[in-house]
Amino acid sequence: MKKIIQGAAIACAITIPTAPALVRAHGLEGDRFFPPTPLTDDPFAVDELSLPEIQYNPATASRELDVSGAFTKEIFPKFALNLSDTYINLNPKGGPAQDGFSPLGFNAKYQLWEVPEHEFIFSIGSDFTLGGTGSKALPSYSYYTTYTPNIYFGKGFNELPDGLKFFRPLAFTGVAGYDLYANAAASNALEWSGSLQYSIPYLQEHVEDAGIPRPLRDMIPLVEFQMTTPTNKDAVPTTGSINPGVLWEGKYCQISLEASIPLNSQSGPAVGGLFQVQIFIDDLFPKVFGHPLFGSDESNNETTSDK
Amino acid sequence: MRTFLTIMFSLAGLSLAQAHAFLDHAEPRVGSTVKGSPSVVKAWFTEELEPAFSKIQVFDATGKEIDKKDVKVDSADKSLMSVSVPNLPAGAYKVVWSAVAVDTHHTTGTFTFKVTSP
Repeated sequence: MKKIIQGAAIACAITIPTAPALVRAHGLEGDRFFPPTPLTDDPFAVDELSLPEIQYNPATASRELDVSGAFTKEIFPKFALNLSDTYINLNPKGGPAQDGFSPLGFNAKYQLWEVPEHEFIFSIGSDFTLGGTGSKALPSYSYYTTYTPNIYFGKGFNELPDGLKFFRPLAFTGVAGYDLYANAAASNALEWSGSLQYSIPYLQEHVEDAGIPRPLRDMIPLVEFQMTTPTNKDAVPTTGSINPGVLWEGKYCQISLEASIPLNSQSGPAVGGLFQVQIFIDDLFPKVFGHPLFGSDESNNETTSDK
Repeated sequence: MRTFLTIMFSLAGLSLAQAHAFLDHAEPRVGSTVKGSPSVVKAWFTEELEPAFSKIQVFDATGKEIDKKDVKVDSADKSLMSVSVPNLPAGAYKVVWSAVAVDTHHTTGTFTFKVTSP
């Protein structure tokens, strides 16, 4: 674990000296850059590499440390496939530690509707969690596959009038999905998450150059939420977390830091945190990534400069 | 893991140091109000630009393009793109830019500025 954290820190430290200026990649809609955020899957179907994402919840019954990795590849224009997995470390109080990998996760996503002048995007997709592929040492091990059809959206506040121009850097992204278990006895659930972001780069580049120096001008303060609402009759109430934090946009990577505040006592008794490094592989390796495997991405380039 | 990432990013930083070009700053400044007409609108980007595929346009409040269509990327500073404008009357103006970095990544963007009587 320590080596992974050190590696990620070194990776970004190396890229920072080569990045005197801000450059972002991936999802733009009109003037709006929608960054990939740790808890709310962004609506763009583009090449992305998240490695690592580290989430720590110190106060659950089993103090939990998760290290995740995810890779997304655009297959056709505006259609991408994703593969992800998480290494979970549980340290129950008074009990032995439990380690292992979560079930393999897959995602398919398609950018269905885009309106660049309104900084709006709507996408559809589905998560697949393959039962039986995780570590049997973990209490969450399941033989059953989960399907989660999702909708994704992003909207910028660019239409606000001049009197409210300093609110134009705000944007909202959201995901809503419904867990469908292959096992009929399992509890289905509504998964919903979102992020409210204030983009300082947007303020500087499109609203008013306020002279904010780097690295502050490369930051995006945000609040995310991630909720689960079981839908069975005897289900527990909605659980989840509110996550205030900040993103820093580098030339080749993005670093995210967020606190994780439990929604209620069923969600956890104390505050945790998460850390994510998002690597812009299409900028690092432009000849290899940033293009669909099949078909031309010209139309995508005109509206979303994610290539 | 550490060694792998170190090598990967070291190589990337040294040999693949190009990315998307975004606006760094502009003259007149983004969202600013200037007294009297500028003679040229300048925009500095975060990457060097490909002159053949990059452009910058200036529109008045009615949506009419009013620049002199003489866009150029500075030969000494390829991150600087500019276009001349005629004597602008007081009013609001919109700048629309389209930038292609030398590695062919394409980005677009807009900003506004206002001119008041000198």
